[in-house]
Amino acid sequence: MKQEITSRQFAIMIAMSILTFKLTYLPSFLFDFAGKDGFWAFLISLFVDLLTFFIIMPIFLKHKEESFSQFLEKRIGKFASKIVYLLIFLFFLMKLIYVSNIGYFFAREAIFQEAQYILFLSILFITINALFLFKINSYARTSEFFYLFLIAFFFACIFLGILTAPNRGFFPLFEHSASDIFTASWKSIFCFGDYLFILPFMGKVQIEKKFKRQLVFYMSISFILLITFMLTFFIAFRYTGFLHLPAITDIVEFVPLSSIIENLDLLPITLMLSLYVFHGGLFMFCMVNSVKDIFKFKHKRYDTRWLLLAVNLLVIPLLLFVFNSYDSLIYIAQTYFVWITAFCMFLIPIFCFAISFKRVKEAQSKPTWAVKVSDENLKWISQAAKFKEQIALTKKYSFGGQKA
Amino acid sequence: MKKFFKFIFDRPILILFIIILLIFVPPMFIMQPQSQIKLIARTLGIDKVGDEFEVTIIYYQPSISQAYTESYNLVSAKGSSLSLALDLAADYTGKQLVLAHMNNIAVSNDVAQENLVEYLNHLVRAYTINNSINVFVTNVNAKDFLEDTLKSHGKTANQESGIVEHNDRYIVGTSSNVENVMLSSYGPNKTALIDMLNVSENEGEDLSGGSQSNAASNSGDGGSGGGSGSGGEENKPKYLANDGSVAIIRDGKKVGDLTRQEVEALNVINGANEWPKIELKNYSDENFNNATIVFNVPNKYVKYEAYFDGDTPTVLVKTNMLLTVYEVLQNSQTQTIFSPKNLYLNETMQKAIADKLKSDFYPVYQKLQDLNADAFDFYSLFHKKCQKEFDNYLQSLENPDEYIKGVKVILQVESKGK
Repeated sequence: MKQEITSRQFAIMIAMSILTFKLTYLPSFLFDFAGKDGFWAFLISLFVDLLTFFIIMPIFLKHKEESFSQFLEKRIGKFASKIVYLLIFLFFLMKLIYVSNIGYFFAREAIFQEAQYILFLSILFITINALFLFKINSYARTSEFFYLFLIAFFFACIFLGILTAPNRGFFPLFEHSASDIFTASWKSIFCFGDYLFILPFMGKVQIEKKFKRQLVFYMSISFILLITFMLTFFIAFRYTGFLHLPAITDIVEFVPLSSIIENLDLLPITLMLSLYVFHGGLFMFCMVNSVKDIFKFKHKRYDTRWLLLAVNLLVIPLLLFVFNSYDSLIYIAQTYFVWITAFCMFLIPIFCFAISFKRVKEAQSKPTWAVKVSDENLKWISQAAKFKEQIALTKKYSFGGQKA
Repeated sequence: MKKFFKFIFDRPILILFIIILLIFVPPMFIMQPQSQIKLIARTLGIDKVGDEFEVTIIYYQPSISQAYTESYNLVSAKGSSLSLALDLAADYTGKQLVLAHMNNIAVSNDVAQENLVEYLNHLVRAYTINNSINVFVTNVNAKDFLEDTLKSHGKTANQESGIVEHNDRYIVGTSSNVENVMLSSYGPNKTALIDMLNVSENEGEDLSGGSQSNAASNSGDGGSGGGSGSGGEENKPKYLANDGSVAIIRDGKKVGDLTRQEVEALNVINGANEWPKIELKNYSDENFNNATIVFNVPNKYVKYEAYFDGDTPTVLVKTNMLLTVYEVLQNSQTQTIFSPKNLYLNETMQKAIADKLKSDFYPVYQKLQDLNADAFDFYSLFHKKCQKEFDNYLQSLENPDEYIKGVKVILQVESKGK
């Protein structure tokens, strides 16, 4: 199995996957259900998401030489594997729809107030398709290159927010009931579950000795920044969180330099648009690979570019004609996507974890007819050889038992 | 040529890219510059005329100039709702309205007394503006105010921002912005203090000074005519009087206001502002004789302690100040009062300062209680420190919204310095 991505690159990809869905509309979703205690709902969701990570990671590390398709097919057979691929495809399809739609509304509110949906989608999909076509190692290198800048932008947004946003306090710690907090956590679960992308990357990463250390390091940075960001939001907008939909942009709006506030918006805008592009590419990769594993055709003209085209032809009309309204998307996300997310982000890793214990016999290759004929010949030859030995012995004792 | 096509078809993404370029790039060449099609609003004024909204927009007007100057103009329009009035105002100029660069919102007294949160509803929903935009209340129509100030402030049209931000930092201690107006409806204390900027004929910053700006007003649909205010008042000088007064916004509506003196009287428990001065009148001790002494407050530390004294919620405010004598008005100016070696803040003076601050504070606090305005968010303080007792206290009230009327404040003022 060709391992195209270094362990550092993969650690960075995982660390970046933590951020995308959580910086714009998630805080206000949580606020709608649990007010300031949406912070606790966020921590619960983060913890639960991390549990799935700890289920997926041992599978990933243990079977680092196998691809995900090999892993599944050896254990559960081809048909059952296709069902898993289909679920993964649906999961990442949903994620890509959400990224595209929310990305458009964010970009429209932040900068291009009159930009058409088709313009945004064409820019986004050209970029994420290019990321796919340039192979996964290029994508990983690109992520690695931009990681430092994006983290710096994110840190700058949080820093400015801490310095300038109003401090409404955070105590008492719990003002809403546990029911509200868990409802908030459940209704926003569709913003989590991104660790599932690790499974399609099985066998593609060079696992080095310091992989775990790198993983801990980069993920820690993401978690610390994310939790600090959430805390800053809920302290600054303790009573008006519902008014601040694009949270990352609103965090920096209180910088008291009214002549340059527009320029400071570039920080969160650059950060978010970059994250949307990176994650769009990641989701596209996972979707196309799932489709490739579902439909395995052996034809000289069949390659992943056709699958990429097919996926684009599926996703873009869905975005243009079905999921083209922010309100309807949020309603569908909170009503239906939550079930798909919960089902996929828990059951698939648990299932894979369970089947990873199954012992697999290395399948022996079936002999072809030519092999069979030569096997038969060899059988006769060996029998003849034995017969010849027997004759020789008989001959030895044929003349009165005296040795010849 | 064959190689070229082979190159392209081997990379299908390029075909798509070329298609996108062909669709979107040619219109770029016939697009007008944004400065010609966008109405960049910097300040917005909101008035109510009968049942209609009247909006006044000061907008940036690009102009060719050798000097580094900014040019602003003014347009106003009426409509049955704020969004329709804004659309009409933009239509008068033949441009599309852009609110993203707006810095100030001026509302007239009448609008503030109706429902400020309701009036700002469209602006908040539009999501194109920051909630950090300054909001201030004017004593005249917002339109007249902006017309008058444009003459003087036309260079930047952002002067009001500076004034409001100055007030927030040095006088009031709270931000006078959209976020706080929203908090007056959605926050627990349901109170906000919003700056008041007044146009006066007596004192203040002279607004009659000219600038490079064009103060012509393009109004329509039965609005007032162009020019700067009504003809008869043109000759009277006008001044921008930023006297530090604030409007008390309770549940989205203006319920009263505080003069500069009343705001300063509240400063004894306000740890958020950089306190300007304290004036002590008719003071006598071994160093002074019937003097008026003005103190500067370089440093102030305010600590709140919330507890229940029986059933009465009580806030103990401990204020520690570092003072320096800034000015002494005394008939006989002696060397003593100029000597840097003398320590003037003796016990007598400290007691006099504390008494003065307390005597100033309590009437104003009573006024806030009468208006049911929890300007310092004692609700959150009690909710944080004594949640259970406070909840019981609220439940014991006939009207829990009037909790501030039962909150007692005890001041402990300590000062040191020279």
